[in-house]
Amino acid sequence: MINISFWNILWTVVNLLILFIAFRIFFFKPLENIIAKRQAEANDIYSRASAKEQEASELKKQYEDKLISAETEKKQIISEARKSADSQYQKILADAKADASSIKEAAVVEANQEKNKIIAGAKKEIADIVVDATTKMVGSKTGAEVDRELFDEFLGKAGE
Amino acid sequence: MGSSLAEELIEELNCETVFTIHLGSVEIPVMESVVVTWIVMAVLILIAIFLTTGLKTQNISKKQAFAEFVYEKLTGIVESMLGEEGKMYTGYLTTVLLYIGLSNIIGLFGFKSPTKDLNVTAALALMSIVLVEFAGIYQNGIKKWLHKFTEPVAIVTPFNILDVFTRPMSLCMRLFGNVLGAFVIMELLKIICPPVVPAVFSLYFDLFDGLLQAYVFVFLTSLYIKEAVE
Repeated sequence: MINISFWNILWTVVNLLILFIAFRIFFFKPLENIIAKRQAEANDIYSRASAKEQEASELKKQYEDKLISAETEKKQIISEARKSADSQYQKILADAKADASSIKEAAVVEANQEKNKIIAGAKKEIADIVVDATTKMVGSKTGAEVDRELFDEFLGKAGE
Repeated sequence: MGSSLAEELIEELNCETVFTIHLGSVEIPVMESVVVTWIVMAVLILIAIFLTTGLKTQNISKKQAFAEFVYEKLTGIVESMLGEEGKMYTGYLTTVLLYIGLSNIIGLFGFKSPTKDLNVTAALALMSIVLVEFAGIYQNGIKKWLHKFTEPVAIVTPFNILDVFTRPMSLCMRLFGNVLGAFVIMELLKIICPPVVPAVFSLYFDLFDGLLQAYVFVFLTSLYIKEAVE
C-alpha cells in the first residue's frame, strides 16, 4: 500500500508520457486542426463575400453614373432637337411669308398689267369707235386723223 | 469479524505485482496499478480515436459535435486556469485531468483504482513539479528562475526552496489520501449496511469526489505553473 517502488513510479511516468503523446496525436491535434480549418474556411467565405459586396457596390455606382449621364444626354438631345425644330419652323415660316408676299406682288403686278391692258384696249376701242363715228360724220380722212390725235390728247388729259 | 474486516481492507489496498519482466539480470515488476493504468489508457485512447475519426469542417456528425464540445470545454477549463503564458501546457494537463478522472472512477467497474497506489500519485506529482520548474526556467531563464526563490524578500528563500518539495508532496498525498479515504469509507459502508445506503454514498465518494480530486490536482498544478511563468 504505502511502499515506494521505483519501477512503479517509472512505469507510471512512462505511461503518462505515452498517454499524453497518444492524446496529442489522436485527440488534440485532429480537433485543433479541424477547428482551425473551419475557421480558415469561414474567414475565406467572409473575405470573398465582402469582396463581392464591394464589387457590387462599385457596379451600382457605375450604373448610377451611367444613368445620370444618360439623363443629361437625353436632355441635351431633346434641347438640341427642340432648337433645330424651332429654327426649322422659323425658316419655313419665313419662307412661307416670303413666298406669300412674292406671290401677292406678282399677282398685283399682273393685275395692274391686266388692268392697264384692258384700259389701253378700251381706250383704243373707244378711240376707234369715236374715229369711226367722226369719219362717217365728217367724211374726210385727213381731218379725221388730226382729230384722232386731238382726241387722244384729250382722253389722256381726262384720264389723269 | 473485526480482524477479517481489517484483512479484507488490507487485501483490497495492497497493490500486488501482477508479473515480472526479466530484462537480463534486471527484474522489472509490473504492479496491478500499472496494469489498470494500461486499461485506463486503452479506454481513453480508443474513445479519442473513435471520436476523432471522419472529422469534417461542414455538416458535422453528432459524434464530432460531441468531440468538439468535450475538447473545447476541457481545454477551456484548463486554459482559463493556466492563463495566457502557460497555454502550451494545456495538452498535458487536460490529459492528466482525464487520466485521474477515469482512474478515480474506474473502481466502479471492479478495478482497483491506480490512484489508490501511492506510487502512481507520486509519479503524477513528480511530473507536475518537473513541469512547473521547467515552465519557470523556460519562461524566465535560469537566472530569473533562481532569483524568484528570493522573492518577495530574501528571508523567504528557504521556504521557497522547501516549496519545491512540499508542493509535489501535498499533491501526491492529497490525491492518494482522498482516494484511499473514500475507498475505506465505502468498504466499511458496504460491510455495515448493505445494499441501498452504499449506493447513495458511492455517488459522492466514487463519482463526485473522484472527479473533484482530478480537478483539484490539475487546478493546483496549473496554479503553480501560472505562478512560475509570471
